[in-house]
Amino acid sequence: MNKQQEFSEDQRDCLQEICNIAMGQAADSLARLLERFITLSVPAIRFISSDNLDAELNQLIGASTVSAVRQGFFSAHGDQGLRGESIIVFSETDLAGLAELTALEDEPANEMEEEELLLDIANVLCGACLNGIAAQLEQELGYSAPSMIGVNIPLRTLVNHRQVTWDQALSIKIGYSLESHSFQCDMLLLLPTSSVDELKRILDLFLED
Amino acid sequence: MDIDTPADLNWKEYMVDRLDAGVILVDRELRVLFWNHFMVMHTGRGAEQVVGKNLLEQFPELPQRWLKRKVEGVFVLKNQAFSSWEQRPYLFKLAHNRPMTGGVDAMYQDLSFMPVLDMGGQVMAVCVSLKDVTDAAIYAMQLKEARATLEKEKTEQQSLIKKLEQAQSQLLQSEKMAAIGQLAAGVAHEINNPVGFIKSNVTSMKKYAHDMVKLLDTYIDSEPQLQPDSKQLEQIKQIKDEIDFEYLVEDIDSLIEETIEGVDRVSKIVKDLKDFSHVDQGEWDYEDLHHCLDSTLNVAWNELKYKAEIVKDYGDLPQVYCMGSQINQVFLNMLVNAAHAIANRGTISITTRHQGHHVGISITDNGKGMDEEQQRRVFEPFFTTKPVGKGTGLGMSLSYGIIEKHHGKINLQSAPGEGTTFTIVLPVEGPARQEDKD
Ligand SMILES: Nc1ncnc2c1ncn2[C@@H]1O[C@H](COP(=O)(O)OP(=O)(O)O)[C@@H](O)[C@H]1O
Ligand SMILES: [Mg+2]
Repeated sequence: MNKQQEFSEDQRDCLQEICNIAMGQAADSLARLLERFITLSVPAIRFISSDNLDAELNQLIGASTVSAVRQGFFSAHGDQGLRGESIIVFSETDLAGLAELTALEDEPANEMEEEELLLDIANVLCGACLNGIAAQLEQELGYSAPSMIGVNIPLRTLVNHRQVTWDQALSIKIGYSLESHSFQCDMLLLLPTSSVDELKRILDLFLED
Repeated sequence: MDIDTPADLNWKEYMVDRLDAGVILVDRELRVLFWNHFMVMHTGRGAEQVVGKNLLEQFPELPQRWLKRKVEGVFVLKNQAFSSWEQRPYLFKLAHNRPMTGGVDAMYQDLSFMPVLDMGGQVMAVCVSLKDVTDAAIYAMQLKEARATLEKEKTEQQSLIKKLEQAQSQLLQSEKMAAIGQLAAGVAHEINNPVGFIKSNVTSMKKYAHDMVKLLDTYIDSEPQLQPDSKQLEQIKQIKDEIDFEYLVEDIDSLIEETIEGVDRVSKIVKDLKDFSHVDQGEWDYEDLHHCLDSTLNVAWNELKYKAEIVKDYGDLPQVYCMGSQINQVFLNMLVNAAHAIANRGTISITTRHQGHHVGISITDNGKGMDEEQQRRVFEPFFTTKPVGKGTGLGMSLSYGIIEKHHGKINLQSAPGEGTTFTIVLPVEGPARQEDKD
């Protein structure tokens, strides 16, 4: 078992502050895009271990049936750089609310359009937050195309346990809710341990300035 | 250099132009700023035709609102956006690369919308790149289809297995019934013997009792010849009082009559039971259907007597060529179903008619009836509305099979809350002979 990952107090404060600022910016640009005010929760930063992933996910998400999208993100420097995935979990997917969120007047007519909506929203929410964080750290991030994990699937099938190759990961959870709509989704920004070292290095550089 | 390649491209631009992917640059109003060779080849529109024009005007079939929103999102958020063939097979309807092998109606496309920033960090344009993913898409779709087929077959198999299990338990059940039937036939045979000699003995006893009473009467006639106040006369009187002689003489007759009646009933039930559980199953013969009905009623009497009054309206029937024991089975199923349909107490009417080459037997109850769905499904094997243990859902399906074998028909009339009539129509001459006539 690897040693327990942790941040120094400075690193943690710094990351929290950067996230908070990024959230403010994200909320702002989302509000401009969607012409609607989006409430973002204060980012919750913690380490999770793959040993008790189910319990961790339960604690992070709460709902037992969810729809979810994943998207990869990466900075420069190949596998030395930051490489992570965000998982966007829709737990109370009110499609009318979603359609409005993306300025589509008609409700999604079929399953495919419904999935497309979820992918779009995931991409927008994810990009808005990560770009804000990356900009402050003077990093440039690239994104893979988002893909569906599943619609109305049990929470515990979110991550295939047999495919997990990491012991520990950094999780930054941001909750989104839309005023006057029953729309609730949570974004988990997940970084494996190998990327956490890089993040620490970047944070230290940032702190030196 | 190609005529499609603008002359003022440097080599880097030329590379982008020749990339094996569509590359389009648009501004916020969706005016085309760049249109590479891939797009030229696949749309058939040269760069000089498209560049500088509005994309939506050039291609009115594009999903306008969707495209505007996508590009606007990139401008506002400075964030890359995507579109995948899985949700949206294509943006531009382009010819695919499989004119011979086929499988799709157009080129499947993955799209990405990249912000292009100016020196000040503001988005000045969006670069749309378009990848041909037709082959991967076909492969993925085939896989998905195969998986769906497998899944479907799996559930079908599971339901088949379940049906098999049910059929097996039903077989066991009918095996058991057959064994009980055999047993009943055996027992009936065994009972027949003692019942036979009981009956003959009681008949003899009846005669003996008569004779004895005759003798006694003669003695009684000679009583006046005895000495009055004699000890003998006293004794006779005492015994007569003791045994209630007058009544005894009267009662002995009816006792014996009742006993004979009882024995007759026992022998009739035994005979019906034998008829019913015929060991010679499946024998074709001319049968008196009224006799069949009566012996079935007798066998089912226990199920019926508390539930219904039986009203018979028998017409004039010829003998019908059939498998008697199997027709009995059908009558029994219908009578028991009728009794089950009656909640408290009702009526079951049995009507028989003869017309031309056919006879009709109707069994009507005034029980709870059946809705349309039930009527559609009564003859389906395993269809039952009864609780486990009471219904197997096989009675009507077996009956249907039996009547079909006879080239007959079962008609059904039912109304929920009012009752049900099943009518069996049979050819008088059975299946084989009937064919000659038709
Ligand atoms: N006379 C009837 N009145 C109402 N429903 C009937 C009648 N006969 C049959 N049914 C319906 O048809 C179903 C199938 O009958 P059957 O094949 O004999 O199986 P089972 O009696 O074991 O349920 C019954 O469960 C009942 O719902
Ligand atoms: Mg039945």
